[in-house]
Amino acid sequence: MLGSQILTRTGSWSSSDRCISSQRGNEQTPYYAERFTFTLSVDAEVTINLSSSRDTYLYLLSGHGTAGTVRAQNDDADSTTRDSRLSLDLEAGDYTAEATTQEARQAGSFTLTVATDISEAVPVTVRRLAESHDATVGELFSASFNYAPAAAQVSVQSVVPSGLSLTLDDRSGSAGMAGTPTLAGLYKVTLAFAQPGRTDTEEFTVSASCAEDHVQQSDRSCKPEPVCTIALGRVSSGTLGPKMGSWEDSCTLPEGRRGRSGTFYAKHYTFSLNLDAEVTIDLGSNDQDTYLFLLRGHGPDGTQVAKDDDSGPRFDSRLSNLSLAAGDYTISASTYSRMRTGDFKVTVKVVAPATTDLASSLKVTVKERLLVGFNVFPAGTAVPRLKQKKTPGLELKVKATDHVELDGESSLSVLATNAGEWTATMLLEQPGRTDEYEVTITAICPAMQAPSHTGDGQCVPVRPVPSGCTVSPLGGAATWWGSVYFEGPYTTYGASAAAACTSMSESGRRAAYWRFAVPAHQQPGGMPARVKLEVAKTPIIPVPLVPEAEAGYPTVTLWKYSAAGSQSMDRTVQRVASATSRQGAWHPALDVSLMSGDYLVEVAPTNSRIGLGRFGLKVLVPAPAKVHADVQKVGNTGLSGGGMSLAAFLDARGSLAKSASAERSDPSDPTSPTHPWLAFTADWCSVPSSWKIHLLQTIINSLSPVNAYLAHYIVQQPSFGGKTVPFYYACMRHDFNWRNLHRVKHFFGLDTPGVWNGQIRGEADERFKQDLIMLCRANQYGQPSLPDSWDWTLSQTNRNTCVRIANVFKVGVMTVAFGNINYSH
Amino acid sequence: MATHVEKPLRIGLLSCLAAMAVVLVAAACSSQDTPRQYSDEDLALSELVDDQMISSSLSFARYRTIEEMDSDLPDPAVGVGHERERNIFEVTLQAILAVAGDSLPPDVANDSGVLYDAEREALHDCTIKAGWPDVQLYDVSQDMGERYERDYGLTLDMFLDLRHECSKYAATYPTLDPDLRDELLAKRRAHYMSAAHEWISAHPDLVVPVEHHEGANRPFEDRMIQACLATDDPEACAREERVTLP
Repeated sequence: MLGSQILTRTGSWSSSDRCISSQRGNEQTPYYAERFTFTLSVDAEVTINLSSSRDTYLYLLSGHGTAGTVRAQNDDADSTTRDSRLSLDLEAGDYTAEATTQEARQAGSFTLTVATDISEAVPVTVRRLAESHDATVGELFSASFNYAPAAAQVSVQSVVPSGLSLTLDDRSGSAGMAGTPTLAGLYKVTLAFAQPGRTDTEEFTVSASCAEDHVQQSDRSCKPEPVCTIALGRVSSGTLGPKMGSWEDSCTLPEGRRGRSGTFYAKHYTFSLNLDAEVTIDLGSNDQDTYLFLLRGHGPDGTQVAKDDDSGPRFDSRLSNLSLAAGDYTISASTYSRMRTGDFKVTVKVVAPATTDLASSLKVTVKERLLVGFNVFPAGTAVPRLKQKKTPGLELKVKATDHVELDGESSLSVLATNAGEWTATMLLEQPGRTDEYEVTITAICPAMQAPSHTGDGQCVPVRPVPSGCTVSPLGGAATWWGSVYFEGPYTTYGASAAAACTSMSESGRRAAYWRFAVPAHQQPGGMPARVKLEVAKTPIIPVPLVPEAEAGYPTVTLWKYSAAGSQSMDRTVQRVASATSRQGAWHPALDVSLMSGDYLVEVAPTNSRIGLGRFGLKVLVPAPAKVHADVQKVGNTGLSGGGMSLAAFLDARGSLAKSASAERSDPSDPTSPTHPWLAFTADWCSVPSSWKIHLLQTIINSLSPVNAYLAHYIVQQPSFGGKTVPFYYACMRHDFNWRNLHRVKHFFGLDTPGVWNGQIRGEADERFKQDLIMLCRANQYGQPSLPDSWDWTLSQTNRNTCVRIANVFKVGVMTVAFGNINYSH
Repeated sequence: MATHVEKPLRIGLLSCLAAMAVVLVAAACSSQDTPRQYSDEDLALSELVDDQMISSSLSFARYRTIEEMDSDLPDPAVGVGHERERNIFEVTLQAILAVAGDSLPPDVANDSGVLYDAEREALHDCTIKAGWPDVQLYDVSQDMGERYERDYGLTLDMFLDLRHECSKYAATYPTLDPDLRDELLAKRRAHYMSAAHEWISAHPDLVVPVEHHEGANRPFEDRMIQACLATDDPEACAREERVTLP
């Protein structure tokens, strides 16, 4: 690096060092040479002398090395010498001086001098120094820059205002500086660059701020920000705190939170609920009247969930048993009055719903005890107890357990005596809270047993259907309803049955099988389907070929498959009922009520020596639509009066028998000769016998010798002018309508509009009234013909009275609320 | 609203009788010990008694057939709210009055007495004048009617017409002195009014006036609300019963 100075170097040319000129000669004709590099930091007048005993030659190239261009060359400085000289003005930069000879292959020594003459210092230029810098109070600030000429001496001249002290590391042409602000503010820094006869300055600014969690004070110092929001933590159940705190002017409620003007000191406490829970928050202070807010989210600006002034002791605040969803919340603990300081205490009690790891459904085998361990959560939840004291058919016990083999602190013991499904409710109790947990328990029968077809849940033995049998669907359809006469496919029954198909009911005999299904009722425990099975001899059957005394007789046995669904033959069955024809009577018949499920009909002979014969299986199962149509027809509802007359109804009922006691628990239910699938039970108009219908009672009392209830009165039959009128006939049909329309909807699953609702019930009630009036009008001239047994004829006066009483009786049946009509039989 | 104020207009004579009975009823009312909540006018008692006054063997003065007569009864199931309550009240009172007919004073009874004899005499006169002297128009059974048709060629339609016209004639009690007729009819009417008052006094909570007012009894609706509230689904029950739950 050159300034105003003289540099001198000596050297030599030699054939051995292989240094040759880059400008003249070549390998064959070498000019020995040496090259010197130098740098001008400023423009300067430069004089280069090359002197030697040899005839010299001097080149000046731009740049360092041999690649630059020749800026100048000289052989002899003047005519008096063979030395070389170059004198010229050069701009700042890099240069190379090559010292060589005029003649080739000239060895010898030489001296090279480079003299620069800088008559005046140049202004300092500064690069890579920004005009402004950011810094943080208390944290180290540093910056670097380059400057030229490098010879300049750099120093920090001033930093204004005070609070920042910078140290400088000058590396001739570049420098680094560093310092830590102790006060906040905008500092103006002045750097000085000194050269001989000249000093330049450079200015820049440093903006120093307080750290993020600090606040600038009036004296520019930085202090830590006051802690107004404190995290209490995350909780599922339990207590957070108590947390002590104090009110001070640095922490306040957001403006407007209190709905009053002024400043209210406050501290804010955040917490998070992992689960939905009941939360109670207490804010107490011996110094101030407190005021409490609960906000949604973390931070004092959340939306308000609740607030309280004085629900706690004295003037303390309390929010009790808040049902909060899982999430983030903030408590703002403040004071009732403005700008009050003091100490306080915050406590948060969280009670989460208790739960358990016990499976919500358990499967057990009847009469095999199941013991299962489980845990309850959260901690502090008591050992559960059962809500139900007793559950028929099921023995349940819950207790704390020390069974090491059980995975849990509590155990549930289950022992079912019947098959079925139960829902057990356990009470999970914590202080101040009780939750319920339901467990569905399904009890199934042991192997080769199945729930009884009667629906009582008892497990009864089952047996497989013999292999080698073909089970035909009745009517040829998978789901079959209606009435069908099915003619058996065999003659000489037994002989015509498949040889490999043995009888389950008659040992050693062969049998034929059919199957059918009773669809599930809509209502659990609902009305059974009424099924009639009859083995009937067809008209073309010849007389048995063997004497009756020696002949066997057909039997019919009904079995129920263990489980509904598949009709595969490998399913097991349980016996439901059977019938054997008596000698001389060829029609064994079953008349049974069946719950839903799949059924198997077996027909087998009692004796294989049966004569030729063909027998049919007659099965009667009502279809819902048919039942509805029949109910409408028999009950004369929904047909605009086009259904059966009262007399025809009684014929269809097949019996005029009635319970003399009129007790609802003693209904008569005759089997209809024409509609055996319908219920003809009568309970005397369903009028509540325990409730005296106020408006009817005075009327009844005046008609009846005793203070009778309406139901009794109807059964005892009112008398008009000495003529007894059997009002209970009308009641029989009224009861029929209510019961069977209800059944169609609820038990036969025909839940379509208009089957059974308030309007249809109104039609049934009106039919009742019309039937009563029909009884009042019996045998009046112009009225329909009636059975001979209807032998009463009322006078006009009594008829009028009878009709008016009938109208009142309609009110009687109207007083039963529709929602209370619910038949189970 | 099911009232029967139009009925007296159908038969002019009965309308006159009804007007006279009002005077007597007023006298009966004034003798009561305990004041009633509603006046007879509020309850349209006079019109209800009108129905009963002719519900004996002269029923067919107003109606040609039994079906016509029975179809004119108020239906307790019709309407909602006060309309239904009033219908049930009328149905109830009609039954009360009908039963009270069994205890009419002997001279004005439905099956004996001066009025009864006068009705029968008038009816008989009428059938004679109509050319059917052997035909009895009251309490005719199916067997009797068939015999009339068989023996006299009196078809059912002819019989109905004859009975209707002759009943209208007999309802004027042409064989009775008008003063006596009015006195007897007033007596019968007083009996029915007395029966009605007795029942109303005994059951003030069942009494429903013609016009609805705030606080009017609604015994049926109260009963049904109570019954519906006891069901599993009170709302559904209330919809079916057409009542409004509280």
